Order: sequence, then C-alpha cells, then structure tokens
Amino acid sequence: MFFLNQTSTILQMGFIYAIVGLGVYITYKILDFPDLSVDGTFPLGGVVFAVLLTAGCPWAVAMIAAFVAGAAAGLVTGLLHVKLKINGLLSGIITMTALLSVNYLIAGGPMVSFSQESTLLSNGFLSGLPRTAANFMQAFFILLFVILCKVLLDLFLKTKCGFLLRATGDNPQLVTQTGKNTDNYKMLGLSLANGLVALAGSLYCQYGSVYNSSMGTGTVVIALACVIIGCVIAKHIRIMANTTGVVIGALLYYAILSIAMLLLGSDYTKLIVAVLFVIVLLFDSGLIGRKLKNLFRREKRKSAEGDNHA
Amino acid sequence: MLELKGIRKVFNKGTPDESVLFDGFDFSVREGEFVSIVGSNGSGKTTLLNLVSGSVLPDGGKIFLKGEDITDQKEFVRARRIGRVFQDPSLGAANGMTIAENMAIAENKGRAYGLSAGLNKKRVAAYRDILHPLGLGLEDRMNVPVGALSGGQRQVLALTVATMTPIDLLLLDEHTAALDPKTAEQTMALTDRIVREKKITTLMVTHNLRFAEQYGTRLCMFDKGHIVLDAAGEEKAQKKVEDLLALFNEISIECGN
Repeated sequence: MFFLNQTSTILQMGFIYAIVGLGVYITYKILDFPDLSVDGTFPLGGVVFAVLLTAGCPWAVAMIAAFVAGAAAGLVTGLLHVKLKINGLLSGIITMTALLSVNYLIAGGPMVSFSQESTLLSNGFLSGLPRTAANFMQAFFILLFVILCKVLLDLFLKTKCGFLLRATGDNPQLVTQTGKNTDNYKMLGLSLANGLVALAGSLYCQYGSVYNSSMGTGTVVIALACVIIGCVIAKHIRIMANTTGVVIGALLYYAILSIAMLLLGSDYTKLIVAVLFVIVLLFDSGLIGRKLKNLFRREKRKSAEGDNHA
Repeated sequence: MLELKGIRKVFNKGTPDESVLFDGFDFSVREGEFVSIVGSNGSGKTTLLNLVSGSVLPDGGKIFLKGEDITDQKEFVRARRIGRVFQDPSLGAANGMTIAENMAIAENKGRAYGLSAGLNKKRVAAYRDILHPLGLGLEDRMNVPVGALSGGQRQVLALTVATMTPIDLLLLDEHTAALDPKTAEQTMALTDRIVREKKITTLMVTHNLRFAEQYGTRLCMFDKGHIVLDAAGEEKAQKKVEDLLALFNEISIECGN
C-alpha cells in the first residue's frame, strides 16, 4: 500500500513537472535562454486558476486562463530582454520578483483553497473510486495533458515558425539572414514556455485543491534538472525525441527525489533538490562519467596485473 | 546598384581610443560586378561589409541599394535582399538542424514562416538536385545535422543557402579564410561558378591576393579607410599577384610593420 501510494505520488508530480520541463526545454535548450521567470509563472498559473475557479469559472476555462497569464508574463520577460536590452538572466529575475507581488495581489493573501470545487483532479467520478485507484486515475489525467502538450510542441517545432524558433537559439545570424527579427522569436518562445509552466502550475494546485504562494520556490532548478536528465537520455537513444526524454527525465527525477526525501525527511527537500541538481549538472558535463570510467579502468588494470602475477 | 556616399565611421567614439576609419568615404558597385577587396587588418574591408549589411551603422553618410536609401533599415530587413557568408563556418547555418531543414528555412526567405510544415518531403528531392553538382556528396546526407559537416562543406552549404532565393547582392566576408588551402581553392572555384551562373552582384573580402587577382571582375585594395587601388576589366586583367604584393608591402611598411 505504502509502495503504491509513493508510486502514484511520483507519477502525479513527475507528470506535472514534465509539463514544466517541456516549457523550460523551449527556453533552456531551444532558445539557449536561462529563464528564471519560471519560479514566478508556476504559482501565477496556480493563483489565476484558483481565483477563477472560486469565482465560479469551469476548471477547463480556468486552465486556459492560467496558460494565457503565464504566456503574458513570459512576454514581459521577453520584452525586458529584447526591447530594453536587459540581460536574459536579469530579465527573468525581474519578472519573477514582480510576480511575487502580483500573485499575492491576485490571491488576496498567501493561500486560496478550493476543496469544494470540482476540477480535473477532484470531481464526483474520482471521489467514487477507492483512494489508490483515484490517485492513479489522477496521474492518468495529468499524463493526458503531458501527451497533449508534448505532441503539440513536437508538431509546432516541425512547422516553418518552429524551424525559425529553433534556429534563433542555434544561430541567430541565420534568422537575421532570412529577413526575420530574432526578437520576435525570442518573445514567442518565452511566452510559449511560461504558458506551459503556468498550465502545470494550475495542475499542481488541483492536485492539492489549494493554491499556496510558496509553491513556486525552486521550480527552475527542478525543471532544469528534469530537462538535463531528459536530454542526456534522449541523446543516447537515437529514436527518442528530446521532449519524450524530458517527460521520462521528470519521472526519474521525482523518483530519486522521493526516495531521498523518504530517507532524510521532508525538511531537507530544497537541500536535496539543490544537491541533486549539482549531481545532474556534473553528469551532464561528463565529469562524473569520466571519473567512473577511470575508476573502472583502474580496477580492470589491477585485476589484469593480478592475473599476470598469478 | 550599390552606392555609399560620404560615409563616416568612428570607432570608440568619445573615448581616448577614438579612431576615425571612414571620413567622407564614397564607394559604388555596378550591377553584375564581382568585386574582390583586399587590404591589411584594420583597413576597413570588413567594416564596409558590415555597413552594407546593416550589422554596423555609419556615423554619417548614406547607403543606397538599387536606388533605395537603406541607411536606416535594420539588418534583418536589408537581409531580405542581401545574402552573406561569413568567415566562421558555424555562422552559415543552424548547426543543430539538418541540411534539409536548413535549406527549407533558406528557401522560404522573404515569405511568411507560419504554421505549415517546415519540411516538405517533395522539396527534399529538389534540394538534392541543388547539392549534387557541388560534388561534395552533401546530397546523400540530407538528414545529418550541419554541425557534423567539415568547415569546407559548411561554407559551401552556407553559400548555397545564401543564394537559394533571388538576392540583389552577395557579401562574402573572408569566407575561405578558415579553410585549408585545398578546400579554400575548391570553395573559391564553386563560389565563382555560383556567382557567374546566378549573375549575382558580389562583394568579396579576402586575404588571399591570388584569389583577388584570379577571380572577380574588379579589384580594390583598401588601406586605413581609403581605396588605394581600384581596377576593373582590362586594367584588372593586367594586374599580377606580384604587383598586388608590392603595393601591399608598400602600404604595410607605411604602417610600420
């Protein structure tokens, strides 16, 4: 029972962060833009959803609104960067900081609870199921969203517009040579990315039927870890798309995080998140891989020498 | 065709390091000309290309392309009529994208980049036909990321991509400088062929005096923002590499090298 509960939590959280990961994949991997506004747009999606829902809006409409709000916030980061020529990292930090107040103002306080409302993850159908089955059903519903986002993103990246978005991060000069303004593609990418992040934020709130202003802290670090793990996996499996890798990366990350939290306790959560990120970065840079390889070689040599002596 | 009038360009303006490169600089290129530009470092060759492409703005003067004043046009707007190949092979294409994808982007230049499929399967055959005569075997590697190609292959691809749609002017910015001598030779020969076939007005900056002598219809030598040699047609045909080298040494000695 304990194992099943843990598994369902990993799936639920893993899938939610997979959507955040897909967003961050656009900025970090495609646009090569270190976007920190994510820490603010994740709760923004949550608060917009929560407030609209409590005001009587259906959950589907509230989720679309969350996406739009996130996209608008991403556009602000983009405008700060391309129009006011502010460094990309700083643009994100500015948006993130501003959103702390914006989110508080929208919520009218640090929390919004909506346990009575019917949502995608809490409705009559789910409450009729046994608890464990309901948990897995929730995970399945979130998975449907993940698949929808992933497929749409994959399709978009294969359109002419998507090609130029990819080229913008790859070689901005090429986009300029085609007579297009790279600024527009940066803003488009940032909007799309933060829209997805906010959408994930709305799902995160539905998971607990509550919006909490502290839910965004550390989102960037978690999402980047998911993206980096995902891209490393996708690199080694030829047929796997990067976006699929990101989804798997998110699940893997959450599995590791959950195990670490079980062993150390939830007080250590953010510390574990930070340490895990360092490990992921070291893996990505090949530092750990090389060390392991060297260690392995040395062992082999030792045993070979031992054989010679015998 | 291309006209620069009274161009002024100052670097490090307002600092003790201020240096005036161009002051009242005039330069014009006629339709169909293939101009080779040589000169020492800091002579203003590359700055000229940057001014024409719009990546550097002049401090004074006007630039006209086919009679239209483009002085205040942004780089990406001018790029719709101007193709450019850089010295750095990584600037010619999106390196993480495949050859076919890069050619699809280039082919769509000047049109809208909307939500229709980026890569049209039927067009890939046409791309192959464009690449085949280049003799580099690129046509068999359509789905290979450009980053996996050699520098020479990338420069040839960059040249192909830059000239895929009709353009008024082609800028070649030392595009063979990063290549080994043999590849540079091949790339230059291909450049000449493409420019002749498509009859594109071309400005080529090069450090290779022999390329400048051998190719093109006009030859200019720059020194500290001035044109010290401008030979076209018969006059150019009579110039030998030795003559160029002698003049080149002369201006270099003036600089104190």
